[in-house]
Amino acid sequence: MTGEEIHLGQTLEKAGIRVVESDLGELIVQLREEPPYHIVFPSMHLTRHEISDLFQKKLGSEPTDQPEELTMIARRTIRGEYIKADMGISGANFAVAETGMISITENEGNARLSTALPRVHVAIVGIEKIIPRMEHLALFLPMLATAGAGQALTCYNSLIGGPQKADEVDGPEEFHIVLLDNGRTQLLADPEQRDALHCIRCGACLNVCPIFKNVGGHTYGTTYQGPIGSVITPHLRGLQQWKHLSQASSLCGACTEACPVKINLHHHLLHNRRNAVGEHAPFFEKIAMKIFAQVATKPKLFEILSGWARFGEKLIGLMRGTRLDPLGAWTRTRSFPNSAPKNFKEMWRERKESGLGVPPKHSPFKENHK
Amino acid sequence: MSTGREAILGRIREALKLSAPMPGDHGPVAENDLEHAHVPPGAPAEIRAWLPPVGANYEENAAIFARNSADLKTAFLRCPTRAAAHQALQKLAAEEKWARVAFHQSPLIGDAVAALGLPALETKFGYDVHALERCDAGITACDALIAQTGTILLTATSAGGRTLSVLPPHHVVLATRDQLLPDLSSAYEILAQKYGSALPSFVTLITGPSRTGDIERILVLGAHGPKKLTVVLVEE
Repeated sequence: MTGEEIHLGQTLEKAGIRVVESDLGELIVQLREEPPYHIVFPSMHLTRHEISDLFQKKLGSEPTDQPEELTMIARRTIRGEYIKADMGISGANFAVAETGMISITENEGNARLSTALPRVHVAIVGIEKIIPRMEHLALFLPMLATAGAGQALTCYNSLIGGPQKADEVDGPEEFHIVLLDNGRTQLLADPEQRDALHCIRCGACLNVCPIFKNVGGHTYGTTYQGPIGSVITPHLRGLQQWKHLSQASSLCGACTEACPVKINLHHHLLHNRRNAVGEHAPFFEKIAMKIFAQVATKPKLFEILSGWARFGEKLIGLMRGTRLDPLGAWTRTRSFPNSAPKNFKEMWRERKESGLGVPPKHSPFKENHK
Repeated sequence: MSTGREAILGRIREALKLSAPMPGDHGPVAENDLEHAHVPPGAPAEIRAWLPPVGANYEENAAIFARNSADLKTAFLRCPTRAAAHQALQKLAAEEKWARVAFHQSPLIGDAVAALGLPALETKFGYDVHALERCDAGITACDALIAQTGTILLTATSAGGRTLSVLPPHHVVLATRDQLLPDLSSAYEILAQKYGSALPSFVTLITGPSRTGDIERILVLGAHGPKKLTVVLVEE
């Protein structure tokens, strides 16, 4: 996750280094050249048939509709890579202050292989992952497993405390831990929302969120999706640019209820809204709102401009999908509704002229009010 | 390098001057109350209160381990003697037509592998990873079995390195009666007792064979690690 947060894969590829995702779900979305859909289940938006088509095209495998066979195709594909790779890169679910070890939780075994076989292991760890003592893992590991995937304990929970020691038979020659801030201290400085740093990335809030269930993970455009993503992304990447995420909420509180570390998620969405209004909005947004206020309060002007908009819409329709489209930045990820063929005032006028729209002289409602 | 570290630590110090409510307390933000910055005690007794109950004695814990193993699709074999354990391994080797196995030197493992009479690769310093990849099974010892979750605790020191227990398609673990522990908290106690401050560079908790649910959330065993996991408990 931290790798995605800092776009490490793309940056290394640009530098001419081959990067292979080893987790099955991550491999699938990497082959599709798209970001993960869910922080725990990166490829949950795809069917086995789509994955089979993808593997046929990108890995040259035979078509199959069996998840077992698809998993074995990925297993065979990645096997050799662990041994060939010069560097294994991982994140960490926890870092233990007492022993200086990192803890990695996984089901597949890909993290174990990529931290055992390559010559160098680099772990990129968010600074909020540090817990005081080893014995605290006895609570955190089952909590993560249960909230994340409904397991009592995840298949592999590995602690790594260094490179191969003198009396050990294998392991990397070098081990580096990179502690990543990237906006986390800014979140720490906000006592009201600081508890969002307790997040263990289990994905429970995504699974219960009515917004996530309707719009899906890609709509967020963020590394961390769902309620927790809407809460922390404005802190990590800028409030004005990401404040819209906090508007996409029913404030039902299902996320807060599901959160195993009790982050006050749905109230933080409200806090983000309040903070966004309190801050000075960007110049362009302010101008746009001023213009809208002028137009919306002058009926004549509104009518003229909405007439122009209907004409402009047809022109833009011709440019859709090209670089000339002035609405391109909006319509790439969302739909833009067309305006109605006639506005209310036009319809009213027409009805009046044809005699249909005249209200009855003795309205029953008026009678009742007397 | 240290400038980045200093900058982050400076920002953390600055940020923590403002106190926040305790986790889970969704009330109003407390006034400047630094007492909240203390480390939670996290004593094993407190942690245990949150986790599933465990057995009171060896027999009960062995039964819990067996039940969890069945759920996890771990094969769990209880053998009264070492000789019985060797026989169980021979039977497994015949059923699965093992051609070669990998192992590491330990009192429990050496004899068991010798009794198999198969070509065997020992993971010593500088062993060939490609040869290990071609082995049908990796046979290792462990540090402990944990009844509560059906988990095996092992380290780079106790189980012949990092790779032996994850690369071959079948991982076979041999454990002794005294290694069966009730819960995770006792596993961390054992680690501290056994290794003190000289912990191996790699420690892992293994709970069932490797698995994935990444395709339509359907469980598939053997994603990247072993497809099969067998625990042989020698109860002599």
